[in-house]
Amino acid sequence: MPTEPLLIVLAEDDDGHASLVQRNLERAGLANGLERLKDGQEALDFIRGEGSFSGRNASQQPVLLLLDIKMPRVDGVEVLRQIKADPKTALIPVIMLTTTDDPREIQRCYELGCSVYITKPVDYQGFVEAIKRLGLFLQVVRVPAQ
Amino acid sequence: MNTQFTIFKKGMTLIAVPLLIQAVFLAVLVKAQTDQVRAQERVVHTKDVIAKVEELHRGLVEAYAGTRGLVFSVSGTLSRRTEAALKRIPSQVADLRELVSDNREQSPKITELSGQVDGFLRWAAEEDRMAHAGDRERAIAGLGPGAEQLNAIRTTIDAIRGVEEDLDRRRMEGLRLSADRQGRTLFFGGAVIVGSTVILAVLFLQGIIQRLGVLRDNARRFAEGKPLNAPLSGHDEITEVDRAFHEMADNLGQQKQENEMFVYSVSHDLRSPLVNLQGFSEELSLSCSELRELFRRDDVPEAVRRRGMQLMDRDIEESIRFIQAAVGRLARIIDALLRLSRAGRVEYQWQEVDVAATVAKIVDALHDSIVEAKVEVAIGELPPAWGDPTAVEQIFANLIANAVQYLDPARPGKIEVDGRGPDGNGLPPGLRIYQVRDNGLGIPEAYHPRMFTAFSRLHAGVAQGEGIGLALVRRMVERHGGRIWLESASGTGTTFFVALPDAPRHSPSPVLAAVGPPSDGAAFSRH
Repeated sequence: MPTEPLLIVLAEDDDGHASLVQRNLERAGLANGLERLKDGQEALDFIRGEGSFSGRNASQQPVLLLLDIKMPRVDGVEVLRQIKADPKTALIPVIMLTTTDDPREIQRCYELGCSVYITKPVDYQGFVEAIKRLGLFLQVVRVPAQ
Repeated sequence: MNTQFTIFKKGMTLIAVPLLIQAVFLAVLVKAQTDQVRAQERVVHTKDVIAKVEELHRGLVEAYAGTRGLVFSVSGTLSRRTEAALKRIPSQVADLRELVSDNREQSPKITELSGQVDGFLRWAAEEDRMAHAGDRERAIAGLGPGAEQLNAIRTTIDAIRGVEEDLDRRRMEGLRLSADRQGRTLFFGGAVIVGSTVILAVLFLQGIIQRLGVLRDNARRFAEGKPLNAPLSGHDEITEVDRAFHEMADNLGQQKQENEMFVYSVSHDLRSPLVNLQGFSEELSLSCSELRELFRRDDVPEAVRRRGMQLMDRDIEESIRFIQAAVGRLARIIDALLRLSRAGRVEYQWQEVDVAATVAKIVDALHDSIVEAKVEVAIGELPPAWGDPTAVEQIFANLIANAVQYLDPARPGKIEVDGRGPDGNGLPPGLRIYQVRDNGLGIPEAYHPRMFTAFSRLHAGVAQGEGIGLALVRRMVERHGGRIWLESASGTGTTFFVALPDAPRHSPSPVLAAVGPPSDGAAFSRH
């Protein structure tokens, strides 16, 4: 059964941070699909196939979402909340990737259902490991569903 | 007393009400005095009447005796005394009439007396005439009716006297009653004045002292970082002061919150570019490694390789090292700022903290550095405190780590932790003092005021750090409503005293409870 390649969606308003993530993913051989979005609203639109992504078939491809917290328009925590509140998108694994190491913030994100919380400056080795594991996990849980 | 009144109005009431009562009291007293004087005058009057009537009687007796003497004597003239007595009698009767003119009961008796006296005088004149005429027989015979007249007069006089004495008795009774009344008036009036003054004063003071007590309590609570009492009701000056105090406290609290939020959001905003600096310097490092690989390839000319390697190893490598060192330092400062800000914001879990166990745990964790520094640690009796376990642990961990860190290499290190404090420390009740004493480098007096300020370091060469440990400690101690201070001298060691609550406070952590997580507010959006 052919599976669609995992698409990594990165919502990050800082170009430098985005570039660093992309470089590390590429180095780890995970560059197969990275969609970089500028803020939380774009992330929601992309996941739902709405707005500027209305042509996209939302259920087409397994997705892993990387979310920065501080973003313009809709912040990462709100994106996480909305995705986890909607049964259609609740299964999407989400990695929070942010500068905030406030324990309350971390706790809140885990309560909302994020899979991994990573504080910048990131240990990219661990970061890549987390993505690989989640990607694997994602494909494992997706297979019976298809 | 009604709290709608201002203190001025209350004060005026306090003065005016007893004054009014005193005025009424004075009027009553003056009236009683006047009554008394009048009653005394009447008593004197009665005695006067009795004296006058007795005098008249004596005159009449005198006149009778004289006349009788004349009748039996041979000289044939009345004695001078008898003549004078006879002469006085009409005017005495007139005086008497005058005296009792205000007494209707006496008037008919006086009229009767007057008639009887006139009869007696006529009798005396008749006797005198008969004696001079030598009609001795008839004169002697006339003595009997004279004596009868005198007796009749005596009866009338006794009646008059009886009336007067009766009157006198009644007036004496009146006088006594009046004196009694006056005494009672004095007593009750005095009691009413004293009583009303005391009652008003108590009400007045209750209102004021109680409310002032609330103000004093608020000032103390403010100093200890506790929440203030509910605002006072009413409209007096104290309420205004209380309102102003609440506003001031609110403003300060808001400013503090804004400061915390400012530090928090600035530190976070600083982190973002720092991530880029760190990440891309890492990238540069990786690129350098790849370039080295490239230069090592055989098809690279030897001169190019040597020059390239030189650039890599010396120039670029060094630049990256400096950038990374600077980034590391910046990251530590920002972390320190965030920790400071968090120390003021994190929610406390209030409970009884086993300080002895906490300190034992800290000493255990510091075991390696304690052994390395060859320091002797003595732990005394440490009673429990009331607070947040994490914060209490951080407080003692900072102080003990400092003590270990700043030992004097010239002598064996000694650190004492116990629950004793100086007596007469002037602390508010409900605080328990702990101390951490070392015999280390010590702190010169001049530096004491800056010891608890963030980013100020005294022995910068001795240990690493950003100099926020004691600032954090102070923040946590103050959030417990406690105190921290130190005694130290350069070269002899330092003692840090920490006062923490020994029992639950009135309400949980008041500090900045309203501050939400950073992504909540508009303050964090980047528009």
